[in-house]
Amino acid sequence: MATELEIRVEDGPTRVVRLVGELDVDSARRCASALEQAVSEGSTVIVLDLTALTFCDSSGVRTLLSLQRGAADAGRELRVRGVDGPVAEVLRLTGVDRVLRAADGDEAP
Amino acid sequence: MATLSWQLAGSDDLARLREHATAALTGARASRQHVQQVVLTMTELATNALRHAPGPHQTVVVVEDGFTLVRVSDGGGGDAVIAPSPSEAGGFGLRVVDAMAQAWGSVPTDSGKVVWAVLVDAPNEPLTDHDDSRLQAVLASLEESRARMEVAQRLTHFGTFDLDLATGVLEFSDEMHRICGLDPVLDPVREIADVLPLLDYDAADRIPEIIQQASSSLDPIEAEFSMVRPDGERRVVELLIESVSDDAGVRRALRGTALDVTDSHRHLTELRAQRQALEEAQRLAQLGSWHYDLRNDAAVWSPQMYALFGRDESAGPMPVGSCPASVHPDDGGRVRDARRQALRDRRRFSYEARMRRGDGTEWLASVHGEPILGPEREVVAVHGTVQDLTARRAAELALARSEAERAAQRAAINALQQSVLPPSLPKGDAFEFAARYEPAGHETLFGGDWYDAFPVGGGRIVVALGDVAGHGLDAAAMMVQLRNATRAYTIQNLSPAATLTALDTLVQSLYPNEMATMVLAIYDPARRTVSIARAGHPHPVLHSVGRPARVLELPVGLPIGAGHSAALPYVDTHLDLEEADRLLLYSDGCVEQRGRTFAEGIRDLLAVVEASAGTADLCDRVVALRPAGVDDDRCVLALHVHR
Repeated sequence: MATELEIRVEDGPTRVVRLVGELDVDSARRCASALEQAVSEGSTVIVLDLTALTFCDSSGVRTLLSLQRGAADAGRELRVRGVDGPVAEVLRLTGVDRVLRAADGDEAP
Repeated sequence: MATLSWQLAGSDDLARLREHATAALTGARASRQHVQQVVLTMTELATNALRHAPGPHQTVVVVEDGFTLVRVSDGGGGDAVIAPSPSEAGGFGLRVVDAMAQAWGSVPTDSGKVVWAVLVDAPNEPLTDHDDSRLQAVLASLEESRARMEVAQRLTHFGTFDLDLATGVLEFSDEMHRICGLDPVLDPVREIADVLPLLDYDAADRIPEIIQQASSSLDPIEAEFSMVRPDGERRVVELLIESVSDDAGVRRALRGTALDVTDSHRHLTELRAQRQALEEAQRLAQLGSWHYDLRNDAAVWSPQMYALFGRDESAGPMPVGSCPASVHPDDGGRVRDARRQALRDRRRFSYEARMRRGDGTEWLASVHGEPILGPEREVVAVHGTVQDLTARRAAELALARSEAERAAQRAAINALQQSVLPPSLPKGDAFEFAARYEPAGHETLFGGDWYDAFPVGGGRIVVALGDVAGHGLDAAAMMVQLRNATRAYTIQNLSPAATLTALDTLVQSLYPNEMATMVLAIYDPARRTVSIARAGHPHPVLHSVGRPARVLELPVGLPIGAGHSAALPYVDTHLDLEEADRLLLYSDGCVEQRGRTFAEGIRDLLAVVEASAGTADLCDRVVALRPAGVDDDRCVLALHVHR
């Protein structure tokens, strides 16, 4: 049973990329290229919505960091929203919460 | 309390692991935050193992009340260390674990390493001493279980094996190889095909069925195999096989233990033969009876008579005077003598004579008869019995033989019992030991009491006294194994409580239906201290000079094999002894007596302790508390502290 992660891209004035499911080494590896693609196209500012992300480990954290850099390389800015519960905790424990930019303008998501 | 265990094939197993761990933790009423932390820790450690080390990758989660242990083993060397600066490339994992876990670490093993972490539910409350001792027990039993099982296997001669259902890989422990007469280095077993040459055709045919049964059964299944070792010796092996699954009904492997039961098998066969001989003797005790009335030539036979003489019942009894026709010619004289005795001397008679039936078969008859006299003292009738001695003679022979076998078996069990008891007790200037063992009366083959005292490192002395619940050969074998395993564990410097915990695990896996009680003490003559723990056994008695003897109340500990050592851990009690103190361990047979309460038995015991001097006198008096020939063993061991 592979880790299930669904990537939902909604294009409006701002592209919203929703992650639904779990993000670990397994799903990160399988969805890496789809994720990279999702944040390298669309609007200049891209919102990564983690509301429906139920699990994220340090592999997931690395993936988020990598996505942020990939977006920047493509001339875009990645902002994160819907960070709560276990995902918030792992971001806090790794210190990555200070690096990711929140979609509502706060520094810490 | 639950222990979950998974073999990881790859990272696509991680989601399933999390799902099962979440279910188990939620079932154990862990807080939501604790569940999240355990699941995250487990994922991190397992991911590290999968990314950085060769397999096999195993993840174990032990859910205890208040804390959870996560343990991931892999086939790689080295140590788990936190990367100095985490980045996209990695280094976050252990940092996350370090932040959440109460404690974590990495331990090298024979085949790689184990990385473990302990997470406390409600981490704001520090671990109590009790939690800590439970935690230590869990850690100790997990980290050392492998090494200990190896020692225990060698000492107790049981082998273990694992069969991977997906790959067909079969792994044998060293002892398992020895049971099969194979060299673990030269003829290692890798798959079922390697052991097929040892099995009979029908035994080999049963293997798929046994695998099927074990895979589909929730409980361990038993199977018995007869095999011929490469050296030609035939052995009977009893297997206990359980399936290892991941809680989702996916059976990954079969795991089992094997015991060489050739010897006990032979005993069983003998016992069965003996029982058959007895039944036969009973059946053959039937008698035929007859009555001949001389006044009107009437005869009456019981049904058994017809069977004995091979005569059809419808033909009626043989007429008077025709009986000699069925008597063997050589024995005819005895019949005539008896007839004369009855009719002329009017006396009772009895004789044995060979008889011939119509179909030519011969049998040995024992005939008893007496005349019945009329008013004039004339003989009016003769009546009596006939018994076929042919079979009884055989049965008597069989009985005599089985009695001898039974005596031999009893002697074997006695020898076994004696071999368990130490030939001598440790001696020193600072102390003195004495012990007595009185077997139960003749009705019981095996009582189950045993004691042991032997030196371990640092001049300390291990003292054990126990009682095995059963009464048969299994119980005798279990006693030997308990005694050996106790030595093996305590020599590794385990405390009494830790040893009892290990024994509990051992007995559960070897004898799931058996239990044993025990008191275990480690006495340090140099410090004049004793550490002591008990498992379902009566409390020891302590007697200090000038004070009344008293029961040394030890914390509750369930019998070994009850399988509750995780829930209700055994506890060590540490005691400073004084000069001239006497410590007494005893079995319940010393204090239990029909018609008296246990409390009365203890009162009797305390009185005897106070009235006695030294250790030898004390032991003699304690075993004499109850009448000889009682139905339970009596076993007692006394320590006298000289200085």
